[in-house]
Amino acid sequence: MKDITLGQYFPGETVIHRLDPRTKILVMLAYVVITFCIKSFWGYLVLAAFIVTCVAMSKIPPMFVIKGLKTIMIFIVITGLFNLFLTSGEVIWQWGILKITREGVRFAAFMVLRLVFLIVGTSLLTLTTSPIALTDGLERLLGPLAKIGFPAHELAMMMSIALRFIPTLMEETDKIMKAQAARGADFESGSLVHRAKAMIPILVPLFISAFRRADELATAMECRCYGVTSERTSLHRLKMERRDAFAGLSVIVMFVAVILINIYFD
Amino acid sequence: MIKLKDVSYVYMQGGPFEKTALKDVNIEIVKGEFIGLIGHTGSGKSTLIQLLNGLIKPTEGSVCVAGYDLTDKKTKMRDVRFDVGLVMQYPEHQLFEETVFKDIAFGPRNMGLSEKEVDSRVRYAANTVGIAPELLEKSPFDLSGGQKRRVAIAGVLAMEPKVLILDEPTAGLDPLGRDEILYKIKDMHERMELTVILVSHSMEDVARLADRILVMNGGRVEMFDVPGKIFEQGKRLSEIGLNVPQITQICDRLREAGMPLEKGIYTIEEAKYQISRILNGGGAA
Repeated sequence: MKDITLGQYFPGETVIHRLDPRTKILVMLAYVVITFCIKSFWGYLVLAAFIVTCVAMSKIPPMFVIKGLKTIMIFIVITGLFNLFLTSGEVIWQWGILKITREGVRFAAFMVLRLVFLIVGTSLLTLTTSPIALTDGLERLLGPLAKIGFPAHELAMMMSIALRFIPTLMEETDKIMKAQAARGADFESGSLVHRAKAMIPILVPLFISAFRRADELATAMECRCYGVTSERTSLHRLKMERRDAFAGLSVIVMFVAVILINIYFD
Repeated sequence: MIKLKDVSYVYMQGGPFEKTALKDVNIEIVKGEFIGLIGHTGSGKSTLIQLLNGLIKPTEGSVCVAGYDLTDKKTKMRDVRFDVGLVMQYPEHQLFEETVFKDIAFGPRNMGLSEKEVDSRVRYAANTVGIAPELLEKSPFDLSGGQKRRVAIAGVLAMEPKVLILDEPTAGLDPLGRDEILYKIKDMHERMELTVILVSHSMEDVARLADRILVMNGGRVEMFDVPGKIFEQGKRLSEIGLNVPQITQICDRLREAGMPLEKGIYTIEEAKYQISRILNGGGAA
């Protein structure tokens, strides 16, 4: 469980870290859209240049970013294999019912690249933005929607609470597993049904503790009059700087480049 | 009964957050001893007790408990855990069954005992910790905090371990519940010749109950001796963030003020005896 880097925050003081979270979220959205727009491999080159520059500027060890891919490696491999073998077109290799087509190779490569770029990009967002800044940014972005009754603040609050409790619950799970192991619980051996049953002594206490924590948190929040005022101010005011404009500009440039490449290399 | 030789333990070895939790620990504990384990937060107490029933393996050194060599790969850890009962902090948080009976029976059933044997063990353990038979069919979640704690302790006792390790069994209980649980533990220790290791923050409790006290500091064994010898070193104890029982503090003050009291007094009875002898006889002890 310690190997999960996806969604983890890597503290730092670089330009990328200091960008306004709103900028980062918007840039990320644009980045995702661009990833899906790309129709030629040259487009990925532009994207690669962008993301490599970002990673270098953020001073996050590249190995750390790549480790995030490990968690969903199976997913990427399966997607790649499906596309490789199941796309119809000009057959270039055949063995029994398995056949690879020219289109399949191209499509599989595209899919794998797309997934890798999506994950590296989004994990860069969470790696360089603390959960609090992230939810702050999200709340501000969704703010205008509150006028039509969208619970922007509540949503952001729920998100930050959820993120905040992930490590706590992991610690709790470890503790409960140890306590039950001390009473001779066996999680490793036996059939699938047996092992599923062995999870009960962990899950029941875990749920109870999660509910207890939720209850305590709710009380603590109410004690501090949470929800009394409709208009909340924040301790850290978000402010756009010149670097945010620069980030926006670079995304627009990238967008234009990708579209031009799409037209030119069609 | 318990023998640790040159034991070290490192968390997340090789990683960026590497941390040494234990360093060169050598301890020997004989059968039937009552050991008090004290130390500041982060001194390695929890790591030490988890080593003793194989929940974690030492990075270096060897651990032998109740006839098992825990560093031997062939040793079956489950067998060890049945003989070395560990009651973790806030054990009531691990309750999960529908009834108190079933929860206490979890350990014995994992041992593969017959239903008859399980039944008698559960009743015996429940009785030992003072859980009335009519509570056995209730849901553990309907009990009070103190009762839950006792059910959880019974769950470990029902395995009839040879060594019983308790990590702050009285944390968060009211004074009455605290005294009751400690009394039960002492009683079991005497009746069943259990080897007990009690982790506690209360110097008073440890002084009252333990045959020997093990003081941990920064992952090392700082002192390991009888209570009298430990509490003679009040200065050193306060340096490492611990203190001596209140009665020892009083006696130390009196001695500084000129009363010829012995060093290392840690029970009220002993203090009373010495002080009254001095007051009545007027001479040195």
